[in-house]
Amino acid sequence: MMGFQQAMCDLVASPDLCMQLAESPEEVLSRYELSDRDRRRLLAVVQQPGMEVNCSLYRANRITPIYNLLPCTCFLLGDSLMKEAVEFWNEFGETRLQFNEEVERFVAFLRRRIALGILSNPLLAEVLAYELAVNEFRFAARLEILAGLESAKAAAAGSTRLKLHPLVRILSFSREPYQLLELLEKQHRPPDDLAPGEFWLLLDGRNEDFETRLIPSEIGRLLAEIGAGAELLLSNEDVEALVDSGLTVRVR
Amino acid sequence: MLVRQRYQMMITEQTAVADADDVSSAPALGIGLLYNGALTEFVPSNLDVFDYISITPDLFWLDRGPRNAERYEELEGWIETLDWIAARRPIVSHNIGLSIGTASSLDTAYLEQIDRFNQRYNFAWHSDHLSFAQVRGKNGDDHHPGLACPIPYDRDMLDLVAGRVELVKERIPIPFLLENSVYFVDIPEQEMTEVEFLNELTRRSGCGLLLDLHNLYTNARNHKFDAFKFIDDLDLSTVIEIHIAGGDEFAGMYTDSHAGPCPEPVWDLLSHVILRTPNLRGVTFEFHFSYYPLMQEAGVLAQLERAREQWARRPLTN
Repeated sequence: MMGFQQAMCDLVASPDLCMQLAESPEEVLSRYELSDRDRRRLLAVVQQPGMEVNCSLYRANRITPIYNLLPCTCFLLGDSLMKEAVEFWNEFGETRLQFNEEVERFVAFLRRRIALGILSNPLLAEVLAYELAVNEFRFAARLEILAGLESAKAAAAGSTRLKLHPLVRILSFSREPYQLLELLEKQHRPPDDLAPGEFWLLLDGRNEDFETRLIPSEIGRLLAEIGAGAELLLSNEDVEALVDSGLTVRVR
Repeated sequence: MLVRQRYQMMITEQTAVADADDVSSAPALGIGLLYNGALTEFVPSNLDVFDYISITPDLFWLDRGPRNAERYEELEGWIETLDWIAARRPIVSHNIGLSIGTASSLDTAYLEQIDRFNQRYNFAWHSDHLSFAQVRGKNGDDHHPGLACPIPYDRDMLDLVAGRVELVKERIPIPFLLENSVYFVDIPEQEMTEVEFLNELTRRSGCGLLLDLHNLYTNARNHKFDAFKFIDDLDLSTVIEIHIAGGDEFAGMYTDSHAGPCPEPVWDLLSHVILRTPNLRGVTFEFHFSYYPLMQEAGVLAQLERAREQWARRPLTN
């Protein structure tokens, strides 16, 4: 029974494997522990039009979290989306179909592809970081995080070591982010000359509805360094100001 | 009297004459709606048009996986909404993660999580799908196959599922139902027909049947059989809940996509079956959240109203 179910799932996930089974059955079937009846069943189902539906539904189910939660990234990927998605599914065939997990894995996959130079759209990394942050807020246990910070406050009192508030993200953009994101949300391709510059966007998820605002570059760079875990030499006054802003918290 | 109080009394009365996990102990609720993220405004403004809410509990938490010590993390906003609804309407749970037909082991931690929700929300009953949605992977861990796969209707599968129903009933002593599945391929050499399997499963295990009329319609349309005969051959005394929904064509076949309103043949099936299901406790309309912009509030209301007209036709003995 186990072998049949494993084979069935592998077939549903791969139209190529279905074709391979139809063409050279022994090569495919030998990978599983199957009874003779299991073999006959698998050979019969891959010949049916319903198997194509199963394969399409598999793809639809797996693209749904990506498309729903990373809409701007998907738009930027354009024609490459399906190719990248299929590569991703080949690499991570074993999903739990948890939306947040699926998205985090896909983001990590795309970042690797960007680093390797396979994906070269200059805006992709920035938009990806933005949508990942939005999703982190969407799934964050906000009240639990805030309660945890409150209870850790006393232990860290007086410390000059800082970290970014866990419900705050600092993102850098090479284009004016509001214009860029508005265009992408409307599924319009941004022009190459769209408002270039150094921009820092603050995402603040401390309240129920998260807020965004542009912050000065100097502050953005400083907060980004703190967010990256850098040990900075800051005056007591600066530390106080950063803690008072609520964007950073003291750590022991 | 508040609906909630009336509901609690109804449960108390019924459980006094039957075991809590006996399907006949389920309270008669009426017309329900499967909750989705597009209904956040619809539900509070239309409390009087449905008698209960069906939830997919898996939408209300993050599952960090069996290897994580704190596996389930509740989603605060969703839970807040659920608390609000549960204070006003009975809740039934329509689970998607039990994978009762899987050849690998049953996910008992998932069952415990459902139980925790049941203790908090007093489900009138709970249900899952007669399929498998977990498969053993190369590293020995189970994973989701990407879609819920139908099971072959064989004796060994019947034994497996019936045994697991027992476990579910032991762990969560409220009525438990299984839903008939959609299938796009015909698995040859099955030892039983679907109807024979369902009748034998409910008889042996004591689970109830969640008869999804749209799934039945989808199968009948794709595989060209008579859905009315299917219903007439079924032991309808085991049907506790009915699902109605819409669908559409996809990749050359008709699918159970929950795409908006129910097609006419589903209403015809409901009209037929409603007179023949002596233990029916609820009819639930389900749709995919992405179709709400097309249906709008009026579209959902129309489906619920039509379902209620059918509900009113039940024989008085129900």
